[in-house]
Amino acid sequence: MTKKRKRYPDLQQKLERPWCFYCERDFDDLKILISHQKAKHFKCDRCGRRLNTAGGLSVHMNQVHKENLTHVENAIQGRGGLEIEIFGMEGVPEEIVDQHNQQVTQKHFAEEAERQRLTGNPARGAFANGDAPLNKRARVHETIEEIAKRAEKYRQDRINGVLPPPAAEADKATPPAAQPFGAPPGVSAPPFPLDQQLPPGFPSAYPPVPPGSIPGGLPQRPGFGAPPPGSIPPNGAPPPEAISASLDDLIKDVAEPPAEPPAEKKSKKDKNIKLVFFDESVSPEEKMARLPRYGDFMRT
Amino acid sequence: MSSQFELAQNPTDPISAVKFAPKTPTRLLVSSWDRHVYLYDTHAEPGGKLLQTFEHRAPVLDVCFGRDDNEAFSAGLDWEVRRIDLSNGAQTVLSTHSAGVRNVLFSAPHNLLVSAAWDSKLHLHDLSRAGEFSTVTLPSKPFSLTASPTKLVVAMANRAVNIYDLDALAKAAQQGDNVNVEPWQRRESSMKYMTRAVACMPNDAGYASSSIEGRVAVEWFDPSEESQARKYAFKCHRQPVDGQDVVYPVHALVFHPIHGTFASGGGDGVVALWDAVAKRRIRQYQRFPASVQTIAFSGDGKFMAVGVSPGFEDGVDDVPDGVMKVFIRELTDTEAQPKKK
Repeated sequence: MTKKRKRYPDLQQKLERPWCFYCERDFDDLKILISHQKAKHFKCDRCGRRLNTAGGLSVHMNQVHKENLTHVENAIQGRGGLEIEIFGMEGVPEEIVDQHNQQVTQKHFAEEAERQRLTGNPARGAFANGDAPLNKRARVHETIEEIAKRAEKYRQDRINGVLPPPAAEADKATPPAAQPFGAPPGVSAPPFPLDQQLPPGFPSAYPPVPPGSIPGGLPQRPGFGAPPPGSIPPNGAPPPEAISASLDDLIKDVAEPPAEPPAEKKSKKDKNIKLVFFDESVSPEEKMARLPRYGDFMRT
Repeated sequence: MSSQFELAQNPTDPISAVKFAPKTPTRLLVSSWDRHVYLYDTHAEPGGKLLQTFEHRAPVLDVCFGRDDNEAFSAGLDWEVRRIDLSNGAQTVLSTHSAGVRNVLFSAPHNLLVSAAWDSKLHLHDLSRAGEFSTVTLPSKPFSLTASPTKLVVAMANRAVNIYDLDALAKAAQQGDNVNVEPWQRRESSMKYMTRAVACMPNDAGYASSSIEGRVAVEWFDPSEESQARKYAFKCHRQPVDGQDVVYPVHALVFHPIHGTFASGGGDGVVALWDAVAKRRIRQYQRFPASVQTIAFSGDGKFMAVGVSPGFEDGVDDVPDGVMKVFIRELTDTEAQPKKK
């Protein structure tokens, strides 16, 4: 059994969902929306009776409890008015519907883009007509003899001390198998001595490596808040494209794991909230006592 | 039938506390930043009757009733803890702290008056020994004080919470001067932000606390693992605005004396009733015109008083007139009842 693919609703499905005028929440079907409105917005807080509309609740409050309803409960700002008669999706003003649809559309595309970014999947409907995705490497047809020849050439080159072409170019020209055999990049020996290719006077693109750290030129693990790998070092000219690209390749494995978890944590914690009052150790009363109008009465 | 009305004559500055008399459910004390304590009979005439006002030297931060309906205690920015004779208006200073006094609390079963001040001290007054008190040093500044029949809970800065045994405190009150009372339990608040209010359950089982970040935690005294595993916290007093949650402080917490449910009041002007055991909201009332700073239930549980005033959290220096109000709500028999199972 393969894993069941999660079906994301498309825009049309999202736009068709009924939603509540008072709180912008959307629901699977109209019945649920109506029971939501009765429970959240049209419920009498005196006796718990659930009315069908705001007007109905107003009349009920007036007649049964002799009280005046001023606004609809639990409504978002500006939607609490009693003038508009809402029942389910009926009575919602045209411009509010447009506004809601626009928001849903925006949110839909934002979500889709975010999902693409996270999964690396192509956009919905793209490449459906047989186009190949851009980032896929062209298939290389190589016979066993050709591969053997290439391997032989590589061995010869190594004996003679000839350098293989830089990784970025090699990527385009040859399949990945042509990378140094057996040696994962950057662990035992880098495929090419970087320092020789750097322009004179250009400081090493690596963060400073303390003596006695990992051999093989592995860069230091970037700490929290360290400049991102591959960034332009201070007082240096930007490194040539090829070098920075291969550098990224080299340190990718090292740099990514520590960078990812805190970022994820932050996005979870950093919920979009705004504190009305915040202080570590001074209570609202103490702050109030410091106001000039109470200052005269403060004993010191 | 339940009904709600506002008192006709209200303080002119923010309201710091509302308290009902222990025996008369219509006798209400209100303390205010306008340096007065107000005594009302809430039902003598429509809109309540203001019986008397008691002037202080500085804003009054807390007030409570004493041994009977004619004795009150107050505390405020003048650093003093006072006894007020409500029948003749005579005031006597019981003790003087070295900073503003935030809370006063009277424990009837122990005949003990406790005051907590920003000098990180508790003063213990044994009311049978007039003019004498003992001082207990707290680890941090106290923000809120509450008592059950046997325990006193002090919520402090740095998220510290000390729970004292009232018997031990009553004993310490006899000694005078500085006394060292070991708390029955030391706890850390279960919430991340500053504790705003604490309230004990009337059945002596535990307490609820609230923070400035729209959250309420409920926990139990019993130190056993099962009881501690039952503690929980939930979000409340928040409002979504443009996809952002605006989070209000929860200023007021108080338990209903009969049903054991509790009310919370927040900077959003909302009062909600909660069932601590079923973990359910029972109801939420229509929004009050300003921040709810204090709530009280009458001794018989029939009335709820809500002190509404624009709080400091609004960041306004000058308080506009007319928004300081005390609302009295007559509860129906079932209104504050816990959820049926």
